[in-house]
Amino acid sequence: MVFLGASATATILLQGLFFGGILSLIAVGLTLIFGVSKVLNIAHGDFLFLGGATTVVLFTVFGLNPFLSIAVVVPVFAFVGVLMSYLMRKPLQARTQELATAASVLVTLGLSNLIEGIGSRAAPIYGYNYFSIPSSTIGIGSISIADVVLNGVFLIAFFVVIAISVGVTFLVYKTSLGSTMRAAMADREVALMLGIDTNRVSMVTFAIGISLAALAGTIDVLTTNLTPDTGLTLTVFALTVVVLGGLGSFYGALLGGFLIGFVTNLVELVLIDLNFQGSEWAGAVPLIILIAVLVARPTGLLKR
Amino acid sequence: MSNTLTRFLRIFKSERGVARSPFSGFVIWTIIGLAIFSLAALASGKGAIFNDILQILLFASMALCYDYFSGFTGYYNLGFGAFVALGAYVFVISTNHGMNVLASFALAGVLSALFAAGVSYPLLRLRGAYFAIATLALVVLLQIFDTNLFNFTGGTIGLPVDVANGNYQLPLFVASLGFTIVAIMVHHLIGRSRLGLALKSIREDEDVTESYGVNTFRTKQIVMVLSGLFAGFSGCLFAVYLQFINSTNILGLGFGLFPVVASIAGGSGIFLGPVVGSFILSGLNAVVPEIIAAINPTLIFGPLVVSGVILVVVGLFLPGGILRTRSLSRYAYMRPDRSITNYFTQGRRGIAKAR
Repeated sequence: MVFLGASATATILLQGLFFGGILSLIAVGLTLIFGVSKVLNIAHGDFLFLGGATTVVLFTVFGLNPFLSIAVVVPVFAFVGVLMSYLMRKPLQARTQELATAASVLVTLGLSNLIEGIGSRAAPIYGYNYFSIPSSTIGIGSISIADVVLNGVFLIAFFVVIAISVGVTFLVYKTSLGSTMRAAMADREVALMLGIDTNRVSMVTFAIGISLAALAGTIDVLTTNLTPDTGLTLTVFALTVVVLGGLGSFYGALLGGFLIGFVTNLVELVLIDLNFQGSEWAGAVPLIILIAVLVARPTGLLKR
Repeated sequence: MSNTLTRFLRIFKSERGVARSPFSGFVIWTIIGLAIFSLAALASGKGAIFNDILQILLFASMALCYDYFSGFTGYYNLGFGAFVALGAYVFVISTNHGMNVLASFALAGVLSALFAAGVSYPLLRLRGAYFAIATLALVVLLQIFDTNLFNFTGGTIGLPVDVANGNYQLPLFVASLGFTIVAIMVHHLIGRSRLGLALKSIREDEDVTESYGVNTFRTKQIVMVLSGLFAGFSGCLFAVYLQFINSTNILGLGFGLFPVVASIAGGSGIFLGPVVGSFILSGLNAVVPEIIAAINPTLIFGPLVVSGVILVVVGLFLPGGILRTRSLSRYAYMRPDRSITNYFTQGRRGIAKAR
């Protein structure tokens, strides 16, 4: 047994929550988009990569502070989301539901490949095979609370993630826009009968979902290196979260993300403490949880 | 015991109601065309063309094996890459330890089929998008196992394929051509059997099919195991082609999703669809980057960009696949052999009448 110090333990657990927060930001976007317009957006993780890459480009070319670049990234990617909703209209008009799903998966998978291909050509222009902002260049030192020393950038990023999650929950549950979105998720036809312009709602949902993913990328790039191929893997993890909570369930996605991130890092911590060789086993935890949940409750934990 | 066996074998009986599926008149012609195409590649004597055509054949066979399960039932098995990779790893590890090549080929297929049978119990409880996501997680799970058991599998560093030392090109080419033809025949046979009828009715409405007395779980499981068996075989061939396997080249998500994409792009559920899809996808992947580089050498785009553009175009304009476009589906029930004789007896109008 090799117990880590209090500082390392707290860092790993907070990182778990942070990674979980990033996952739930992607998962919330995915579940909203799937709920309103029945598009399984395979390219969602790649929009996270694009958001991070945009931040890095803004930082290296214009010297813009990464936290201020949120003000640029969010509107730009909201516009990208609107464009994407126009792009997805055509495949969704296919004859049957099954064909529509297949076509939308094809289009989003193609977009994902396109972003990864262009990204892997564009990344070396800025020096490496990945996009990153070293935390030393932003110039916030570390903060110590009691015995625990934490990286300042990480701590701010952590609170930004929490704030955004609270903000999105407020948007979905306390505004009229949110209630139209939930109505369209519950039953699209009935919502249309009640006078809700479902096309407009799906446009807004795409804008919100994709700008959330890009925002998560902006924050994620402060703490890790974003390689172009992280997109698809992150999509898989986010889909795990979405299925865990039940497809189309908002709270399921939000809480599932935090839960998965925290449990993954907890397992990693225990494995390190036990001096277990190959502590990357922790990555298998969300997938094993997913399969176990699917066997026990095939429609997700929080879905009625 | 024999009663159970005969009942089992009865599901492979040809069913008159579905004996003619789209493009079923083209099976022999496709096989002859593939053989001529491959012989032309051999005769050209150029290494690059040979390599491209070998890759097309391997991808076509893989996409056909994927289509056994997903083409007929309409379930998206996005974890097909896991079956392929498992077969490849079993083959490479057993041949590197000195096992006979044919024996380890068989072992890889059997283990892959057993894996498919094992995971079918939890996975086939799911439907629709849930099934697709859970199977996609299977690939990532296997990747994590691979990188953690690196003493055994090599992880990201990988394993060299010892069989690929020496003169292996020609046997591999013949084997992959033969395997593609077998895969086409099996796909055709499933499509016209009683099993195929059950699978197609599962695609239309699973609950109604079950109420008519079809054991839908067992039916799906049989094809999933069959798909896993053939996936294991194609994994062996692909490992020899790559000469070197690691956790990113054979277990990568891009590689694992290629058969899925090829069969949907070509036309899922038609035996010719996966073949056409992988011809177009991997053919363009091989050719287009070179053309772009020849026009403007500063623009070097990898195959990912090309396949991304193809996918977006197919998804937007041909959602049912290339073979289901109106201009091609006119010929779906044509008999090519009869159309030639009709051309000579009845003139040009006779071509379309040959059904």
